[in-house]
Amino acid sequence: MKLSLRWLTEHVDLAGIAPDEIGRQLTMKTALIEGVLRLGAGLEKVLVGLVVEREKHPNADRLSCCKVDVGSGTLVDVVCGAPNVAAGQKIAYAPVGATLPSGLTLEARKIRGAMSHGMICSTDELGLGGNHDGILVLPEEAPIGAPFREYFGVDDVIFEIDNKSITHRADLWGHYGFARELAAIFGRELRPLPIDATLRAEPDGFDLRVEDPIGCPGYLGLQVDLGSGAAGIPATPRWMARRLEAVGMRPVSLLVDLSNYVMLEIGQPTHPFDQDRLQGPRIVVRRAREGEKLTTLDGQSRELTPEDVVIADGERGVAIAGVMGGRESEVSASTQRVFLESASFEAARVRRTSSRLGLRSEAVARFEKTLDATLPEQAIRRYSHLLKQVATSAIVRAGFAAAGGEQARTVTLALRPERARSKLGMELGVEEMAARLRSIAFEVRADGDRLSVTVPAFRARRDVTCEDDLIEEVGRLSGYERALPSLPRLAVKPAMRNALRRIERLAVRCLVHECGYAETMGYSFASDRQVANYHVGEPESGFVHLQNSLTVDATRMRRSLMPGLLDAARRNLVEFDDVRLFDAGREYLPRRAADGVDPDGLPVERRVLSLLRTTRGGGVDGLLLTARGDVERLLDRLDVAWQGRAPTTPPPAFAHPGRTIEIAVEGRTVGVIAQLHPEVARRFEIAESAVAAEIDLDRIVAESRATRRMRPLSPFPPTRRDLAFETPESVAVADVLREIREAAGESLLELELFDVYRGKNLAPGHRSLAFRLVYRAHDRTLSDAEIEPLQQRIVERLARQGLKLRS
Amino acid sequence: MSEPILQSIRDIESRAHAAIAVAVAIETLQAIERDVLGKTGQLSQILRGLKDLDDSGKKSVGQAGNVAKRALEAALSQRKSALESAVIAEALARDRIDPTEPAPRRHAGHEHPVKSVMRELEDLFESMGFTIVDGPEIETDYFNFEALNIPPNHPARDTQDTFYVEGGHVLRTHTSGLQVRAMRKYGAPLRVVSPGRVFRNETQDASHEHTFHQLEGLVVDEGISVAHLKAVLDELLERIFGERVATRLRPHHFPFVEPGLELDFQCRLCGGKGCATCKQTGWIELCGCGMVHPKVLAAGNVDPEKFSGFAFGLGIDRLTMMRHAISDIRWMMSGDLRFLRQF
Ligand SMILES: [Zn+2]
Repeated sequence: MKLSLRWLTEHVDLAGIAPDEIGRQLTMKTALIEGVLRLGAGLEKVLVGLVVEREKHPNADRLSCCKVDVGSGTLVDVVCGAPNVAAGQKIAYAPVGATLPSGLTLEARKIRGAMSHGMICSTDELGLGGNHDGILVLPEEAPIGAPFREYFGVDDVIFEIDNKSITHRADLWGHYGFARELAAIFGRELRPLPIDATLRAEPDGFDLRVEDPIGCPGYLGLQVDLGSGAAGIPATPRWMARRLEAVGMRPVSLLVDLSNYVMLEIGQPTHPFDQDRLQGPRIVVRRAREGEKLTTLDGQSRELTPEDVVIADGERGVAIAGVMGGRESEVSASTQRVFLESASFEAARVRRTSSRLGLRSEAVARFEKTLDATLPEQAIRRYSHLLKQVATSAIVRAGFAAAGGEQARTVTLALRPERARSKLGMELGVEEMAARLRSIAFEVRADGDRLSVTVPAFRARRDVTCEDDLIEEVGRLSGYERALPSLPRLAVKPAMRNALRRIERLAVRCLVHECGYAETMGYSFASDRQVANYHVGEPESGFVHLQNSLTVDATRMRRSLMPGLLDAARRNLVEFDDVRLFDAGREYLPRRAADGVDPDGLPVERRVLSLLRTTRGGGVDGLLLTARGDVERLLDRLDVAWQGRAPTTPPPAFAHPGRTIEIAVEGRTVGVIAQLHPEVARRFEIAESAVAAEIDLDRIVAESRATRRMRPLSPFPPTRRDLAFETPESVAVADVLREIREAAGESLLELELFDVYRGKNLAPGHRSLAFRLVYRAHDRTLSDAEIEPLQQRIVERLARQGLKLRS
Repeated sequence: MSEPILQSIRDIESRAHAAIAVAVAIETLQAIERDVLGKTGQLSQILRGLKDLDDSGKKSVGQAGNVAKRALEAALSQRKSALESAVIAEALARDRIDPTEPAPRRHAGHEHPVKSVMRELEDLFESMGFTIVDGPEIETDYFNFEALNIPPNHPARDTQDTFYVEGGHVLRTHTSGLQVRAMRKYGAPLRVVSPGRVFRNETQDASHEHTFHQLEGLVVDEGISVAHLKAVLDELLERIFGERVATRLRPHHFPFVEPGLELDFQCRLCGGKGCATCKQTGWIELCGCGMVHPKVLAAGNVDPEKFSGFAFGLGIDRLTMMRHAISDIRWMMSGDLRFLRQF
């Protein structure tokens, strides 16, 4: 919203205060000012002039030589290129030395042989917009020699308000409300709003019925007879048109402009109907009928529902209440009688209608804030006052139609000065608090050790309803800079540990700093393409669905991080040969019986760490083991004891079923490492070897031990032995390791597979596994005589499984 | 009788000294040591012949032999260290590298800049005794709106551009929903921060994302005030920028705080004089904040008469963009290594 300084100063004297200071104080005490704009900058030297003589330029057909009276006593010669310049016109004259808004500085110069001192300006050259075709012709009564800026009403300053900072303040949606704030901030007087005091309610003066008193708690109508005859409706006075333009509202015609002016001044929207186009004439405020159609002012046909409040005449709807008027009853140049609507509408209904129709208007912006119940009457009184000033021939009917009896409510609240001081952290006296509140028209009286504060109707509806709201008023008007920063004195109570965060930190340390992964973040949505390529055969019931997703190309929440990683990997392979990515995020799943009950009925959010590793031109076997090494390092860091095993549950879609390592902790599956499924690789267009892993972080949190325990160290020397076995491919390493451990007993301290060999000198379908064994006792040096039988037992035991010792 | 032996000791010694003096290789010295002092060396052989001498002969020859042995050992060691020093000096004179030659490339990892700023803030708040809490990203209408004093049809819901999911739930539009959840779970007094992902149904452009990150802070205790809020946020900024930064609090409306405030810090590019970054105001908006509304405290089962609290909601992405001069927020979720590798 924009505010005009000229308009504000009509209601409060701001003499001697710089516009920037006004902007700064409003920002610090009322609402954020996004910009302070000086209108008419560059027009300081422009004067009102009279073209006394105009002759064709002797050397140029399209130029004119003019003599201009600018009140200096001598006539000025100006060459003008506009086709519409004529003797007798009042014009805007820019003298030599003036710098116009375009940055052009005028000099005396010869144009095709004729001297020209200055310029006769077009609206464009004055920075007022409009066309360049001709000069601006001023009304006859414009005083010669007067500063143009003041005469034309463009010496104004515009404040741009951040609308978000006044959503709660219905009273600030007009200039008068801001004038009240400024009066309070600068200690100036707020002038009473000039209104027509002669008006009075006349219950039977018009056929008015409100059938939906909840949607429309109050409805007033002012009848104006503009009279017929040659004069017709006068034009909007220039000062008013300039003000409307200055705050971004296009002047249309007097009746509409007055309505807009009143709205921008006090915040109450009104609507003028052409009374002769109302059937009856009669006004009925009712719920719309299902499917009822109405063509609004913008020419669009709108279909309504009973949720909407409609203003109807004797036959059909003529306006959508609080949103927009209808085209058929619109005022026009030929309008003779006007019925001005000024009403209260229920904020929520107006909002819903507006958002359903996708129709925002200045009226909606105000009605949805819940307006002060006294405003409709103020609005017609102000409208009448202005109209009588401007159009003296207009006859305003002193009795206005009225229906509904919405009472203006004030609220009286208690304010405890001690609570205010304590919450604000400011040194404030009771007297000052009372003065601050009185400055914005709150009534304050002492009531024992507290203040009894009556909130005026224009603040009492939604805005100021409890004690802490009063504290805010005191705080902001006193200035928050008076709250001197001091750190709170709090109990020395250590923070509780967040186990998931600890795991994420360790994951970063391990995967980023040790294993070279880049941490990435994917969207929480699953695009249709990702679903089609990854979640093949997954029923819709497997997803959490978005109900509105105008801005993303997805209708489902992701149930896996992997499609996002796959897409990122494909894009990155264009630029990089070695791509390592991980993402620790959430997967969203509909809640099943097995997931247990959530007290709020929310879906399941699974916290998962997924990683993906792909290398251009690399072998996949090595990559799979490398990735396994990465996961192993991570789980070791987390102190999770785990085993890799063949899948015991169906592996996730990304996993090649024969090349999947299931990560098991105490028998429970917590994740998977796998070569990328060739079908998934094909769909995601990843042509390089790729492996990926998925780890359920919630399970890891449960399994991760906080501390390691030290194993006692033996002072006696170790004995190392190597053993290699020709092993059928069908026998798993984990089984061999277990057999060795069981055969060797507790003297075997360390056991490691240090080589896997496939190739020559081996039976088909076999590989060689070479193990290093370390024997050690805590109480003695082990002798060969003790170790040999253990070695023998291992060899014999493995032989029974079909493993042959290699020499 | 012992004189000829003494003479040959002198001869051996002087020959050995001469050879040591001219030796130019460590190996030569080792050979001399072996030939003269070794188990079968010349001197050892002579000393082994002592048994044929009388007592005084044994004594004088033995003495002479040991003196010669020690002298030769000293000479050998001295010459050896001279030769070694010469080798080092030669190497020092010769060995040069190109100090500008880079190390072989190691595959480095990269922490996401948003996460890294988030972790830094978590550390800061943890050091002040704040517990880090997490909440659901799919949130109930109640915790996201109603408990925060935003009833249905409240205009504030409009500006939030909410994503709705089935079951009447929403993708949380802010981390503020954690305020009531945390109060209900832990009671008062309370100090928590809750960082995480939030969503707005907004069209993306260089400064708008539908998915971004916030850090919610909440302190509830007796006598908590605006002055405390300002001090904590001042500390936060000092940590972020490494020095004290001028700040200001100004009124703003959020339904769940009263008073509602916005904290600005002085633009560091222009020092407060006004520039394009700060839209000529000299100030940059950091976060919305305020004193927890009594209705919100009550929704959290905390007595608003006994306790008060402050809350703030920091936009992590914007902070990260400011810190690293990132001009387009859409890079954050791009997964593009060209971007990620820079951090
Ligand atoms: Zn700046």
